[in-house]
Amino acid sequence: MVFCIIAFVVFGVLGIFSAKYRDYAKEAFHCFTQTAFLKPCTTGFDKKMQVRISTKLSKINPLIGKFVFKQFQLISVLFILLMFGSFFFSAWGAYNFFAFGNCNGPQSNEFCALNPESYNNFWNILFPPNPSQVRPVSSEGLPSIGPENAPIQMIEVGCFTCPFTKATESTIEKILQEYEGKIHFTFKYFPLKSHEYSFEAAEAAECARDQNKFWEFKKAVFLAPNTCTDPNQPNHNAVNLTEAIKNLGLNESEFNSCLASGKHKEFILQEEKESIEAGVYGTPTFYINGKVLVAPKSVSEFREIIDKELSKP
Amino acid sequence: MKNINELRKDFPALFMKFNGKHVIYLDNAATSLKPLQVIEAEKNYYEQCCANIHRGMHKMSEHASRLYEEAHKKTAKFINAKSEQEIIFTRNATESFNLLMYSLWAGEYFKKGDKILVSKMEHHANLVPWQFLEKKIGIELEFVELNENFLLDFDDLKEKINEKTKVVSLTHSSNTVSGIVDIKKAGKIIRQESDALFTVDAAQSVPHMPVNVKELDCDFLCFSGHKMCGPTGIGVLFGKKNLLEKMNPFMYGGDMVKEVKFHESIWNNLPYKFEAGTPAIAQGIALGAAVDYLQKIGMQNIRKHELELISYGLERISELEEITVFGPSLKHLNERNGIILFESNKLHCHEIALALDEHSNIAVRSGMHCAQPFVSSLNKEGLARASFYLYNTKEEIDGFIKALKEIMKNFS
Repeated sequence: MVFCIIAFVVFGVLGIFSAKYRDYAKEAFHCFTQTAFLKPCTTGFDKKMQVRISTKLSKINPLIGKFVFKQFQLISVLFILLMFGSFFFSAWGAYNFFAFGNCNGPQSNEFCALNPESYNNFWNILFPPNPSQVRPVSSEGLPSIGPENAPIQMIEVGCFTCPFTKATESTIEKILQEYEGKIHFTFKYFPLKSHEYSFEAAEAAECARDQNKFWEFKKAVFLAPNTCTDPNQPNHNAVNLTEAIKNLGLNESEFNSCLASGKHKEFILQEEKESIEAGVYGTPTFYINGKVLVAPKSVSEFREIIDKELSKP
Repeated sequence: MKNINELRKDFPALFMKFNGKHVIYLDNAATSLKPLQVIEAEKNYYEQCCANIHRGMHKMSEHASRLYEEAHKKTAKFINAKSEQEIIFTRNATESFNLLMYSLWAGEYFKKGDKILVSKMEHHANLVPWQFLEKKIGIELEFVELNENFLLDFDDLKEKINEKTKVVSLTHSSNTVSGIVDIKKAGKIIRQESDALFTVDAAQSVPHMPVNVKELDCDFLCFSGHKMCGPTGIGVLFGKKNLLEKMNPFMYGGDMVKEVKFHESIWNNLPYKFEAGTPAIAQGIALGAAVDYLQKIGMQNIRKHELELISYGLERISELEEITVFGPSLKHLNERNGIILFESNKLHCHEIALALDEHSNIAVRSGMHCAQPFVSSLNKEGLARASFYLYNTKEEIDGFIKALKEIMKNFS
């Protein structure tokens, strides 16, 4: 009976994709129900599979085949325990995800395959997205520099504690210098749950913007060491960011009470939601006159698009 | 006999591959493979003829009728019956026995207290119908013992037969322990001691050796087409004409009647008196083709080939200490058919059969072999059985033994 339970699940799933397993699934189910009601399993399905599996394995290695044949019941019990264990943990992960937004529990930023906001989203690994799937986002109400009617409208969707966004910062500076006066640049908040202190940093940026210190804040933060990937340092990003913005000339008590009040929380959440719904799948993502560039590695990638746009009549 | 490799080309099923490997078919006692000639004959009926028999004046019906009647004639000649009137086509040997039993019962041949004798090693086809009479009428069903060589104990037969015995029904060639019964000798004893009807189960003998019903002097003889390279769905009941004429029909309806009025009917001539309704025409014609095929090879040649195989097989299987074979020893080789019935002290018979199939696509049977009372007395879990036929080779036996050795080594 033990084997029949596993066999039913395995062949049942395989039977969804291939008809040749459906008869096995039916037989396994029949065997399981017979023995569950304390009747003998008349088809001998478990015995048949014991011999078939062992014989197949013995062609690869006779010792393995012999071992599997002799310990078939024990191996079946182990697999059953593993199966129920994995069902339990999967159900626990699903509960956590629906209740708290992360498979690993309410306080966790660890990787969760079900999380649509995660870079390393399970589906993204199987079906890698591409920039053409990303839809436009709004730049309204966001911090921006450059002439509003500039021929190049650029939006950066980024995360303050993301190493990739940080790495692109110098490239952006170069581009903005090179194409000075031709680019209207906007920064759009996309705090990543997998990056510690990311949301708080976005709130802090808005609080700094309240004191007209957004761009200084941004520069200072991206210059600071970004150790968001170090799990051994609790609140390490908070410490780094606090240090980083010390010399910005911010009114500390105003800044701190802005942070404590959470007044920008809703705004950041809406920005985050908009980017998710637009299909943004990585930071930084750039929109250059509507054309999408995801995590560009070099200045030339920007130049290619910008020059093309500028050459248009 | 035709060169074995050439002969094997006649059997397309031998060239089937599973997982890239050919099949080694050693389950001929269950059913035989079919040569192209038989497959063509059945196919040709449907493609070129396809009409019903004995029902139309048109060419197609006449052609079909002729082919069907010829099949009866060929079968009669094959077992040396007097004429095709003694050859009734049934579905299989089981139906042949049932026809016999129901017909005798309907004719009130039996009364309570009468005796029917069968051997202990009978196939269910030659046991269960008589059990029905045992329950229905209260006839006494008794079993003739086997001796220590798994051969019929003629002394016990002589002892058990008496004036109350109405039917003695014996297998000619066992589908389990492989013993061949000396039917002539049995017949002499039966005729001496009683007026019983003598019935023979020839399902495992007609396909494998020359069978001459005149020499055997049996009253009835049953066999199946599918075990002799013929199609499934066709069998034969041979019966002596004078007996068949006196017997009641088995089934009633079309074609078994010569004339029908509202309240009475006149039965048709033999054999059609016992072939009601539209018969298995294609299968009957194909049976005729199977008879042609086997006669062309020669039944003596087939028997000789099988004796070589069984002798070699028994010798090879004795190399395995874990295996016990049930049946007459090599000393009684001429009293054996091409079956090896065996067990292992390490593995269940089903495990052996499954492992052989999975290991090397070797087809053997396992279980009770439709002889449960007898086989379960040898091993209550059942036994494994390899059975050879005209297209098997010594190389296939080598493959069988090799796989068996590996399985015993791996799983015990």
